[in-house]
Amino acid sequence: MPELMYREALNQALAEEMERDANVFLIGEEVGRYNGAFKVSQGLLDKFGSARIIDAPISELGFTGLSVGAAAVGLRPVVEMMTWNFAILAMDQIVNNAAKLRHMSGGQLRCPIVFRGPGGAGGRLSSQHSQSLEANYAHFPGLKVIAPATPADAKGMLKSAIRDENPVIMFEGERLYALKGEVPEGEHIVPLGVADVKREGTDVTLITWSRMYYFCMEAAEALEKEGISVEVLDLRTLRPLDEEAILKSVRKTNRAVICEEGWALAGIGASVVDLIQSQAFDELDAPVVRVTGLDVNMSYAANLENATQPDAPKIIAAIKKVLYREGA
Amino acid sequence: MATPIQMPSLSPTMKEGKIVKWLKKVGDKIASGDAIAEVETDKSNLEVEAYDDGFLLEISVPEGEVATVGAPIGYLGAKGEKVSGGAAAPAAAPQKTEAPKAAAPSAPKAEAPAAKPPAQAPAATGSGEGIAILMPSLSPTMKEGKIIKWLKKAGDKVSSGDAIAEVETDKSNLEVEAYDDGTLARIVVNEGDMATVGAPIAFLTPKGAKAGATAPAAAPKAPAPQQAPAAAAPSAPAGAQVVPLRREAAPAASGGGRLRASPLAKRIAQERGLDLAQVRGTGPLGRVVKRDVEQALGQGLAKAPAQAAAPQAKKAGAQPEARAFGTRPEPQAVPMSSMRKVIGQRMSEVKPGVPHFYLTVEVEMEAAVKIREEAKALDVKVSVNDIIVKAAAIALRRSPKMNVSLQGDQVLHYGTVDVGIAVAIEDGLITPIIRDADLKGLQTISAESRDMAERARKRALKPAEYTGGSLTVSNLGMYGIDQFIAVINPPQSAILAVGAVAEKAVARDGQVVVRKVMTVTLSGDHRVIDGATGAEYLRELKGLLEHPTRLLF
Repeated sequence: MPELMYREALNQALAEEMERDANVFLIGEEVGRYNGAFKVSQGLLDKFGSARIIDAPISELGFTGLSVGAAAVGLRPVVEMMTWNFAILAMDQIVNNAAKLRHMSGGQLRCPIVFRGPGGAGGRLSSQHSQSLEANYAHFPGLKVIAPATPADAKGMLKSAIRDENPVIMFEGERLYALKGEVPEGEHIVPLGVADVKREGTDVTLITWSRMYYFCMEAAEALEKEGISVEVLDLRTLRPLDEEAILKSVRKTNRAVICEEGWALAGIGASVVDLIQSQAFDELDAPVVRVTGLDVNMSYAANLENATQPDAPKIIAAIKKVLYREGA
Repeated sequence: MATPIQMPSLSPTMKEGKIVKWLKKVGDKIASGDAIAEVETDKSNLEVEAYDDGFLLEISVPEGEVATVGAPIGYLGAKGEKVSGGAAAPAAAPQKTEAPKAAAPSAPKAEAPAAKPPAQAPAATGSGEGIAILMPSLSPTMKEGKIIKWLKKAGDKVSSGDAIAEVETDKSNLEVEAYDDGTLARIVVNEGDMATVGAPIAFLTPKGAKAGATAPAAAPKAPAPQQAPAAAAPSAPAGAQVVPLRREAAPAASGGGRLRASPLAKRIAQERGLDLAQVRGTGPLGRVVKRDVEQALGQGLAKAPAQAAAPQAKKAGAQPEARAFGTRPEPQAVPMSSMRKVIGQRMSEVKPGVPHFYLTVEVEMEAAVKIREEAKALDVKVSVNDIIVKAAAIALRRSPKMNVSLQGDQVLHYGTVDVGIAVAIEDGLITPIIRDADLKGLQTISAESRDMAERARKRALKPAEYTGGSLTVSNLGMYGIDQFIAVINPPQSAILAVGAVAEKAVARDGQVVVRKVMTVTLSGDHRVIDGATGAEYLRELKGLLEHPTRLLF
């Protein structure tokens, strides 16, 4: 199986879907002549032409609204946000139109559209450009929210997202784009709404998604040497949550740690905790612990940036806490 | 001043309740409205609320024990205060449903009665009691009335116009109203007892009057050491009321800190019959966690297998283990649950009390089963039973003579169609009611049935959800029962016993053909329904189920 970078896997998914379906087009800032701010759309302009690879001006609300309209009348737009921080400008179109067209039209209109771009910290970009905003979008009925961690999932889920009849919000990551992994060729489809046990274990369930997955795997490997068996559950889709997979794993291990890059208050992890305590209370041998970004705006300084985010040592400490091995 | 917290009446048929769990512990600060204990009634698990502010001084009925309605289950008072009355009293004192709270909140400071000669605090008889509330005449023919329920308890503030008690007359249940403002000083006629019209059922201390002077029953409860002269005590006839039902062997945990254990550890301990108090917890703050329970089980700390087996055997589908040949274990005595007691009592009243008649009919279910299949194709969950409930409701609307209920010597004719569904739950059954079932679509009926059945199993139904209606559908088809006869659930007047839908050879137009057939047996209350009425109803029901398009008309 070929090894691809995350950005190459996305590129492959886009190219395959555009070949498969003439209604699919890509729009965004720098997606055409510059080949993408993060080179996700490399070579696509040459391949598909400027009618389907559309360079948009710096006007997120405008090109998002345009694309929602295109989706309503039958096209399948893929809207690239240079980062999700900038997409805040387009939130009205995403939340008030894309998420609600089907509802407001009594099912007469559909909105098959993908909004994608990087989320999370990129490295010394300070507070306005380092946010993990997935919890904001996961809040809204009418949207699906995905955040794949691996190149293979990125490809398979982008293909599923493009084929979905509803708006899908896809969180990629500036620090994920260059990561490599094996990616199946051709028709590789990862369904939305299905979490993935990336590593089996028996002592604790470690629930995560997107870039934090790599810290979780690092922590799991380190703990294995101490005789602690960690099950890593990659949610991949944040709305709808794969409740069954979460509960199944927690029922097996009786303990859970949730790691997310975003802030704790009203985060995705809070909803996962709620699910666990309400559905698997009698299975718990310890309170569920969350590892999250610190409740501050992101610093520019590299040392402070690292201190603000979760990392393997913080995850290891949380796992020892739920295993009652603190200070052990 | 310590005031008792009484076991409240939480369902129309509740006579006693089991303390499932204390939500507060001794010494906890309590605010009016706080849930203080979880109680298992005959119907469901509900919370007992505090009606006063204060501190929980004593838990009189430990977890797992039963108290009759009205009996004190704990005491509330000022911080650090001691509950003296109960502990010192003879253990043989009968438990009373009467409210010992009486004048306690307003009882004077201990010096006051000491300064006054007993003469000024008249005995518990005569006019000194305050204003007598008399059993009113609530119907032209009423001679006496039964107190079904006290809506106020001693010590409660009462305003003119307040309903203070529910009374069953020869006709119906009605409320007795207060005609004065004041404090309910004493209840004379307990719940379940009769009083003739004009007899006092309670006494009211008028607004502004000194409670201590009018309610001598308060004296023995006063916990202050220098209380009223000893002579006053015997003059209070209800003195023994305050004695809480003392229980031996209160759990050690109620005295101080609570036992910490993880939910999983608790569950395993319960399943294996292990007493968590005997397990040393190694988690934070001494929390007992799974590994501690497993270690304890490894050391053989579990209870005798006989005791542990009881809760295990309750698990659905659990097969009792085969015993070794030649051994003959003693039968185990398991106390009846509140629900079992009430079912037992009601059934033994209903069968001789309600003259049943029975009508049986076979219904071809091809068309009804098809509805379910069509619903399935639309991804809509509808069971055959939902269709039967709907048909039973429409048939009931079209047979108004069936939609009745006998109440006293009146027949209530309902203007609404509410159909009960019998739900089997652990150790009993309950019949939640689908309101306006004739007006609801199958999807709604199905969703409501599933929701109420689920909550019935969790014992979380509210009383309003299982009272009323004129007919219940009881379906044992899922157990493969062909036909059976059901017992009416009064005040309803009929019940449908529904068997399984099964393929049978039947004769049609001179040919033997195979059809999906279901047998329905109607039990009717012959006091209000006659055979012909029931037969017409069943004919309508059969028609609706065999030709469901008729449901649309």
